[in-house]
Amino acid sequence: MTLTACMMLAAVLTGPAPLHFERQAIDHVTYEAASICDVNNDGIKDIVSGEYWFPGPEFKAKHKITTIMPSDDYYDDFSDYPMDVNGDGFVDIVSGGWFGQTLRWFENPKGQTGEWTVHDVAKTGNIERNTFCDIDNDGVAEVFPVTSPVYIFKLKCDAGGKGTGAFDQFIVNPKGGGGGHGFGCGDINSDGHTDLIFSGGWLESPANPYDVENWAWHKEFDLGSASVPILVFDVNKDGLNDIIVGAAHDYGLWWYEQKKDGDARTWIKHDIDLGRSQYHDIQLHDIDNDGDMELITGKRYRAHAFHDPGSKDPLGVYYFEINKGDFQRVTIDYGPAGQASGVGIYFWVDDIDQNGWKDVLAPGKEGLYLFRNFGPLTSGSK
Amino acid sequence: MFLQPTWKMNTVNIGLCISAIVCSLCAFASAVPLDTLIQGISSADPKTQCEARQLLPRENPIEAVPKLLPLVGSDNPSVWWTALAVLSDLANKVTQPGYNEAQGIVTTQLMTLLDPAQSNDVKIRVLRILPIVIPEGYDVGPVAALLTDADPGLREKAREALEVTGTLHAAEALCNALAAAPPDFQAAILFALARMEKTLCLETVLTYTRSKDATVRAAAAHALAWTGNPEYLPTLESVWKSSDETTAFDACDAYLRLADAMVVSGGKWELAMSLYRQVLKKDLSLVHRSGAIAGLGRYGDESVLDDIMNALKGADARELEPAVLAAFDSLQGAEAGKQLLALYPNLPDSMKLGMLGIFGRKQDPLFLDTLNSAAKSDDSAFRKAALAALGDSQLPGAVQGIVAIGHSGSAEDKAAVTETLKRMASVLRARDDKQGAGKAFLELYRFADTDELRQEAMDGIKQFPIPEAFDVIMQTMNEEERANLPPAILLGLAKTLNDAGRAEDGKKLLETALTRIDSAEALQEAFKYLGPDALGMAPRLGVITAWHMVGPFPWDMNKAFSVINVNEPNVDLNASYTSDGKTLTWKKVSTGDPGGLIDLAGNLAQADHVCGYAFAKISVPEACDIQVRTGSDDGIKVWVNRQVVTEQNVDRPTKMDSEQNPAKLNAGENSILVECTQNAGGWNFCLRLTKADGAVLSYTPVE
Repeated sequence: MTLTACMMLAAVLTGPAPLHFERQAIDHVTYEAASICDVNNDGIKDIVSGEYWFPGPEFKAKHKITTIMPSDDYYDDFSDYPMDVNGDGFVDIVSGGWFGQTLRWFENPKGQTGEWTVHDVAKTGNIERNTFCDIDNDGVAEVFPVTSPVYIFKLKCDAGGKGTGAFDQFIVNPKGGGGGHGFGCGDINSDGHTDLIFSGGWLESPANPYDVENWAWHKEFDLGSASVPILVFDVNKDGLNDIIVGAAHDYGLWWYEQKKDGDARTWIKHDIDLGRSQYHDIQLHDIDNDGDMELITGKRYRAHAFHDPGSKDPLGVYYFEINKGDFQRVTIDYGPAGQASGVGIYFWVDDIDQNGWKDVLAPGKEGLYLFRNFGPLTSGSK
Repeated sequence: MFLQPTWKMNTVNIGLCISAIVCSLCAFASAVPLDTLIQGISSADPKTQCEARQLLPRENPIEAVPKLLPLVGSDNPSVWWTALAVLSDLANKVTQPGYNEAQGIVTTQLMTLLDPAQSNDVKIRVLRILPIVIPEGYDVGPVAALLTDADPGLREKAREALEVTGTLHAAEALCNALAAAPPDFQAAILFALARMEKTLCLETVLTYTRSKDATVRAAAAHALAWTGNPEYLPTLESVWKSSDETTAFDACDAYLRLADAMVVSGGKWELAMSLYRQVLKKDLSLVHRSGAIAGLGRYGDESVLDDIMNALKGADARELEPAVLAAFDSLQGAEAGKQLLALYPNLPDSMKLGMLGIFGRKQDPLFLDTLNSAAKSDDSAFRKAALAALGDSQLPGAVQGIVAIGHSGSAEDKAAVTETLKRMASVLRARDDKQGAGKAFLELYRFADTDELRQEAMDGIKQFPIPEAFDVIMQTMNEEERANLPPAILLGLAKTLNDAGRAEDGKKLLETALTRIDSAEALQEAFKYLGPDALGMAPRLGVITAWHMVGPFPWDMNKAFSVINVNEPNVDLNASYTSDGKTLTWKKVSTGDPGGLIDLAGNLAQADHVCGYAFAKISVPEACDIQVRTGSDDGIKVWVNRQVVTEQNVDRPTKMDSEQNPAKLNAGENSILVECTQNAGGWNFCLRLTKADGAVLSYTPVE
């Protein structure tokens, strides 16, 4: 072996450098939802997952929020959305799950330790996973427990725009449409209103989204056992919003290209990744600070215990570079449970350490992990 | 010198002797002063020395250690070695929970042997024990001081001791010793730090990657690689670039270790894969290329397959094959599996054989067709590999391929097939894969060449009957043999045949099976094989599961069945009765138990010292002699067609067929009346009808 033969390593870092993440095991908890928010208003972001919150920046301690009902392989906690529900200046957590069939919120004891008060909002039926979209553009997200019928829960706010601890409840389009596994929000027809997307089609929003009788159902596709959320995004930058959807309980990740011919709308299915399964949660963020969105996702480990196709395949956390319809998968983490992470049913992306790069908080039945993003490796190497 | 006993006793005697010695020593130990035992250890007499070593109490290390320390410096190897052995025991003792304080004290006591006045021999001896006992946080200064000793041997022992100690202070001491150490010792220290995996002096280590000595640079690269920190990548790259013939191996190894650690620490998967790829692409040593391939296989996904396959295009392809196969074995995920399968046809035979084993171990139906095809190969090596793989796959679909080898192969093949089928059947049985286990046992029966194996296979067929088994039984057994099959097997086969759409065959077999059930045990066995269908078959099996019932009525055991409550034996189902101020009427009750066990406590009342009545009508086509078989908790009296059949005034638990009493049935309708008494506790009974010879009697219920 000659020295020149083995000295090629500068080439490792040529070309687009992948982002450099460091994985931090936060805890062995196996809740499938998590979020990042400043629980105690100390200016430092904390982590919430299931029954606990973990104060930043170390996340070494954990404080009990409440007891979450376990059920077989699951906990009845399919979202941990931070929202100041009662307007007291502290974020509360909006949750709900399949088994308890109840939309609820946990009242933050103003950043103090001690268990939080649980408030049931409504008995909605099995919640596949809460989704949060600001459909009336008032700056406050509405809550969509992914149920049938299709509910909207709008936070009641006072004159100052602060939450009052109560929600107004609406049922969209009682005449039909919606339902099935999968849900998304976005402006499908570019009319400036936020439509609702389901596995079998989409509900077109009227000008006033609370005019619930006048949502129009368009049965235009069949996405199967679709991810939550289904994303609405102009993938190919042709001016028409497309759909990105994962198979929540099977193999596959696709985008559906929207085509318009006059008033006629058609959808062309494109494969993104057929080799991975249980893409239950998918999100769009600019994770590499290049000004374009990346698709961030991963496996929901044991989404249906070990019954889904591919459930025994390795876990993974990925982001996809999107270039006008071309999706390039970049692997952040990959391997069996115990060695690698998936992303659960409700993961969170945010710059938790405020270093300018968005991090990925990945809950799941394999444990709770934080992937700290340090950007491309080309900077700061020793 | 150690005692060398001559073993001439047999094992039992030795055991007894040791027990006796231990007991006597235990009794003796507390009586012997510690100083006497210390003297014994330094004795020239091996027996005395050995006894002293065994008797020296380990309960109080703080007292014993100082007395033993002088012996470590003995010129007599037998003495210092024995003292060291006892000290080692004591050191281990104080590392147990609850000895924290003693651990520190003993450490301090042992450290005194590192005093400059002590000989190097003594220091080296105690360095063997110190790593056992030095607690986290303890000042390792006396050991660290030896790292700069003029004697290289002592320096190395001190380095070893600190590495094994593994505390932060130990790592810090090693780090601090780097500056003054000669290059070869610097390298040794850096490798030790690599193995200790402490983060405290990485910045210091980093400076040694710029050492003038290539060995030191390579060792420093190792001491950084374990972190998996990609920021060290340029440094490790530089170390590798500047390595010489003798250090390139270590420098490249550090590079691969960095890649491994990147994957394990998480979040740097792409970069780690690129490192493996870079190593693989270049014309490096076989060991490192194999290492890179192993890394790609262990941690990679389907995307690494092209890189691995490209590696096989080189001149050393044959030498790389074992590493490639191991990597393929490690690769996980369905997509990787699909691509491996696609690669298979174009691989050389030497790899194909290995791939068959991999396909088997993946235990994925995806590979079954390939394995089953290989099982039909003309090449015995492929058949053999396929057979092993099919067995490893533990898939029911593998039975087909295994059998194919058995039919086409040699006698040796057949013997292996039998063994594989046996293993497969056992696995599928444990997994409760009814169809798969049934098939495997059936094929095992066909291949069995001994009565014992045939019996084992038949037991499996009995447990997991499948329609094909019926044909085997018909083909392989004559009428007499079939007649001797346990009725449960026949029933199970009958049910399976019926479920498989072979109703006529099933019906014939059912009739045969029914004639064979002649005991409560056989009936219970039949229930197991019939499963949920057993209840629906109750009338075919003579078990009465539906009754009209009334009660409870007061009952006194002393009066047995003498009190008439429902005008028995002449029952009117429309009548009502008054008992304990309540009006009682007949009601329909049925049981979910295929054996007909019916609970009166649940259906009538939870009460003591009561009785209740059950009445049923059945129809048979012809008059016949029968047996009425009953069990009850507690007493029971039965009338058939108003004639008393049995009367048991007892206090007992229910057991099926406790009584077997003759009776006569008329052609057409017949009545059965039961009075069941309750003293206390459970209250139930069961009743079935058999032919006079004990075979089951089929009847038709009459509403």
